[in-house]
Amino acid sequence: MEKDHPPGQPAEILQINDVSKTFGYRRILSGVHLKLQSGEMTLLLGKNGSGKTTLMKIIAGLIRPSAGRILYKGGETSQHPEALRRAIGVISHFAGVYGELTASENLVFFGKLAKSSDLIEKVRRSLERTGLSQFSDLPVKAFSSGMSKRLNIARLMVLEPEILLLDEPYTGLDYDSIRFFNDYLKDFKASGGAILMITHQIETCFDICDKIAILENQSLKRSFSAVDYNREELIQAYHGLTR
Amino acid sequence: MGCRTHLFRTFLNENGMFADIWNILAKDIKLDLRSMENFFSMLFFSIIILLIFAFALPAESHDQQLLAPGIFWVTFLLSGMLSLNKSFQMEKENGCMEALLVTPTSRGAIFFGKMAGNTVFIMIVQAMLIPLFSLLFINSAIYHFAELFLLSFVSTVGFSALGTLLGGLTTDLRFKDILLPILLFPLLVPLLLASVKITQSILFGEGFAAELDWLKLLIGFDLIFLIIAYLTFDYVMEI
Repeated sequence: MEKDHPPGQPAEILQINDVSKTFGYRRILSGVHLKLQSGEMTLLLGKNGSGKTTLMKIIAGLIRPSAGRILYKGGETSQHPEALRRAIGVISHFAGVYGELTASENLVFFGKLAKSSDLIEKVRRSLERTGLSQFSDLPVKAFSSGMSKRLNIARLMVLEPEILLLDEPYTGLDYDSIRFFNDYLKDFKASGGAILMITHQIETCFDICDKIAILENQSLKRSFSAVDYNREELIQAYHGLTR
Repeated sequence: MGCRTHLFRTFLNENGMFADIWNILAKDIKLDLRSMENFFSMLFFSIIILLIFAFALPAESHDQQLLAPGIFWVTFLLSGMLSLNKSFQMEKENGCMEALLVTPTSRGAIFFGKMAGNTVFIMIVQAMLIPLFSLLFINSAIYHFAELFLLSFVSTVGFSALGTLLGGLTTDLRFKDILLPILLFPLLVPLLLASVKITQSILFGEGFAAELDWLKLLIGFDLIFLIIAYLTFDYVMEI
């Protein structure tokens, strides 16, 4: 089924310009150009080892690029990386929460570092929305992987980022949690946020993605609107790419 | 004057660097109070080392009196290593270090927060070791508790600064458990020499005054490595 194209002209929130990354003699990324626009979700596809996670780590400020620039709302981020980090929320392979702390303590800790206002109220609401209220005083080490992932989502609600970087966010989520997470992503886009997602579960997120970017041989080979393809064509093309 | 006041206020207010350092320190203390793993491992390891030396060197021999300050500081270094290892291990679990680095917190605040945590844990253990050291080696040491504790603090600052930097550097490496001491101990030689000399002076009743040059070296060591570690921590923590 064809997707409806969102109305209006989305604003450019993040620009990745000619970014390259080399580790020693090994080139991981070469001249990558990518734009993230508010209200849109971009799916980053590519084979294993194509540099997707490396690109995401560069955007998140965890790794410095060997060359190129990242512009956040037109401003150079290398001079003021905190500005971009304040705008970013990340879900990666790992839970990123402290096992000995409770769910609320984890959210309060990260909320304080992000200088979130009305923190206690936000923590309470986010735990309620993610169905974790009754577990708020339980140490996170007692959580299942699905619950830890939900806690990650609760953290995003507390931090209120403008850009989401999601690396395999559906791992460990059951059907209800996937539906909940996709609803959250739709609301996030509707409020003007930009999303960049890496996932192999393309069927799970096709209905909410707006753009597809394909990394191949260290650079961005293709970038196109998801509106131009129907679900089956895109899934077939993806499976062809990763074979 | 206006610029200095502004910087001072920025550092101290609730949105400043100090607040972030405090949050990270409080988190580390809370984590350790829950598990007590770090504290007990450091404490019991230190006790074991002191006991081994006490048995290896007969009490009545002159050697024990002469070597006691060195024994005290060897114990400090070895037990301090446990704190450094544990400090980053708790961040590596569940990808917490990544989550911490993605926050708007400056790398400098993360460095000082982790360093403060290491300092606190080591100082708590030192406070318990001084009486034991006095019992096993030099009985009069307990009467110099305040001076020994103060000296321990000055040495711990330098140890924690360098150790936190190198701990962050080696945390992702394969042989991190052996690499950290290999990198750290040679750099700590000036700190170790100064600490032993000043301890001897304290235990012989001459206080800090008799070894002022060594004290200056120790404070200089602390300042140099505090600054170097703060400036380079950003590069060290690239994942």
